[in-house]
Amino acid sequence: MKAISYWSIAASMATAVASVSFTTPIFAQDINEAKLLERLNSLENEIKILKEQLQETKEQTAEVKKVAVKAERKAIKAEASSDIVRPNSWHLAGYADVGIEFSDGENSDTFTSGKFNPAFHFQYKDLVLFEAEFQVQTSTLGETEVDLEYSQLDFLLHDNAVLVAGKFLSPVGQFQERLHPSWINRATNAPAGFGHGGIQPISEVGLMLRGGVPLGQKLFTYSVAIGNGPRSGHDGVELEGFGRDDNSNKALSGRLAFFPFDNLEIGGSFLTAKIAPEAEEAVDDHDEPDTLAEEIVEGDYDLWGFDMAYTRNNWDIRAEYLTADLKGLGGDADHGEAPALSWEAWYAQAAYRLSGITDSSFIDKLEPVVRYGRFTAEGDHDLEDELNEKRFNVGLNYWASPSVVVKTGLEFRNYYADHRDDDTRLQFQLSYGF
Amino acid sequence: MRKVFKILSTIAVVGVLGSFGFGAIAETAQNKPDPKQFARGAKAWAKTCARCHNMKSAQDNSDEEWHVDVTHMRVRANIPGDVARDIEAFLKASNK
Repeated sequence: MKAISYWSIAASMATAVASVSFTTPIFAQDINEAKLLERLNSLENEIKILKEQLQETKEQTAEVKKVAVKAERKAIKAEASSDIVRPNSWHLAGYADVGIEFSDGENSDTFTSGKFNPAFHFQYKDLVLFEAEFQVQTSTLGETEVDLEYSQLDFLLHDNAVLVAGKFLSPVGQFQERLHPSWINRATNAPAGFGHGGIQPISEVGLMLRGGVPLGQKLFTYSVAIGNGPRSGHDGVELEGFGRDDNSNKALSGRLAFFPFDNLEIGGSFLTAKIAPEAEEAVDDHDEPDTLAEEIVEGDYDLWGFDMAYTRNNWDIRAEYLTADLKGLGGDADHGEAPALSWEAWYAQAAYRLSGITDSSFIDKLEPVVRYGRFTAEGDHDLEDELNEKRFNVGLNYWASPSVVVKTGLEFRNYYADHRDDDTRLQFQLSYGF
Repeated sequence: MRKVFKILSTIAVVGVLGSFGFGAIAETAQNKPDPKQFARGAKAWAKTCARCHNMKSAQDNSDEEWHVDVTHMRVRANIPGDVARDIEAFLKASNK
C-alpha cells in the first residue's frame, strides 16, 4: 500500500513538471516572434534607406564623372594650346615707374611722371631674336620724350656665341646693361657717375659678339663690341649710341667676367675710341659735319673698370669702378695739345631682404638698402664744378610682388664745388616690371 | 686701309665662329623635358636669374612667352644656350 502511494506521488509530480514544461515555451515563442517582426521591419527600413543613399551616391558619382571628364578635356585642350610655341613667337615686356621727390637743395619738391619702357621681343625659331625698347617720359617742360633704348638683332650662332647687331646697351660694367630698370635697381636712381651724363657708356651702335662659356663647374662670360663709339659733347664725352659715326675710327668695348663660384661674379670692362672735336652738324642729316678732315685732331678716349656682384640668400652686394681719360682732343698746330680730361666713378651697394627672419608677411617683403659712391672729373674747372660729388643713399624697399616695388629713400649729395650747397632728397618711387 | 682690314677681320672671326653652329641649334626646346633636364633647369633658374633681379613666378608667362623671354635673357646675361634650354624646359613644365 505504502509502495503504491509513492508511485502515485511520483506520477503526480511528473505530470506537473510536464505540464509546466509544455506551457512555458509557447509563451516565449510569442514574444520572440514579435521582436523578430519588429527587427525585420527595422532592417527593411534600413535597407530602404541604404538603397536610397546608394542611388543618390550613384547619381552623384555620375555627375562627378561627367565634370571630371569635362575638366580633363578642358585641361588637355588647355595644355595642347599652351604647348604651342609658334616659329614666329613674341613677348611684350618692360617696366614703368612714378615717384615723388622732396629736396632741400637746388631742386623744388616734385612729383615725377616717371618712365614707361615697353620692350618688344620677337623670335624666329631658335635662330634669331629681335628686341627693342623705348623709353617714354614727360620732360620738365611737359613734352613727351621718346627714346630708343636699344633695337637689336640677336643671331643665336652657337650655345656659347650670340652675334648682336644694331643699337644695343653698352656691355661696359653691370649697372647700365643689367641693373638700370627701376624694378631691378634697388635704389630710386642711378649711382653718381652712372646713367645718363655719367662715365658709364649708355649704348652703342655696331656689332657685338657675346656669350657664356662653362669652364668645368665655373662660368666665363664675354661681350666684345665694335661700334660708332662716343662723341665729344657739352659735358666732355657723350657715351650714347649714335646712328652715324662722325669719324671712321671705330670704338672697341667689352666686358669679361668670371664666376669663381655660383654666387660671385667678377668682371672687367674696357672701351677705347678716337673722338673727333665737337662740330656743328649740317642741316641735312646725310651730310658730313662741315669740318674739313685734314683739320681734325682726334682725341684718344680710354676707359676701363671692374665690377663685382655677390648674391646669396637674402644678400645682394655690388660694387663697380670706372675710370676714363681723354687726351689730345681739340689740339692743333697753333695751340698745341689740348689739356687732358679724366673721370672716375665708383659705388658700393648692399641690400638685404628681410624674408624668413620673422613670421610677419609684411616684414618678409621689406628690403633695406644702402649705397655710397663718388663721381669726379679732372682737367676742366667747369666740368669739375658740375660733376664732382659724393652720394650716399639709404632706403627701404617694399616688394609687393617679385616685380612690383615701393621704394623709399634718403639721398645725401655732397658737391665738391664751393658755390654749390649740399642737397638732401627724400624719394619715393613705385615701379612695376612686366 | 688698316681700319678697314681690322673691321673685315673682326667680321670674318665672327663669321667663322658663327659657322660652327648657326642653324644647328636644336629645336629641343619644343620637346617634353626629361626629369634630369627639369632638375637642371630648376637649379639654373634659381642661381642665374637672381643674380640681377627677383625671380618671377613660372606661371606669369605662357610657354611661348617663356620661350622668347628666356632667349632675351640668354643674350642679356650671357647664359650658355644649353643652360637656357634647361631653364626654359623647367619654366614651361612649371607654368601649368
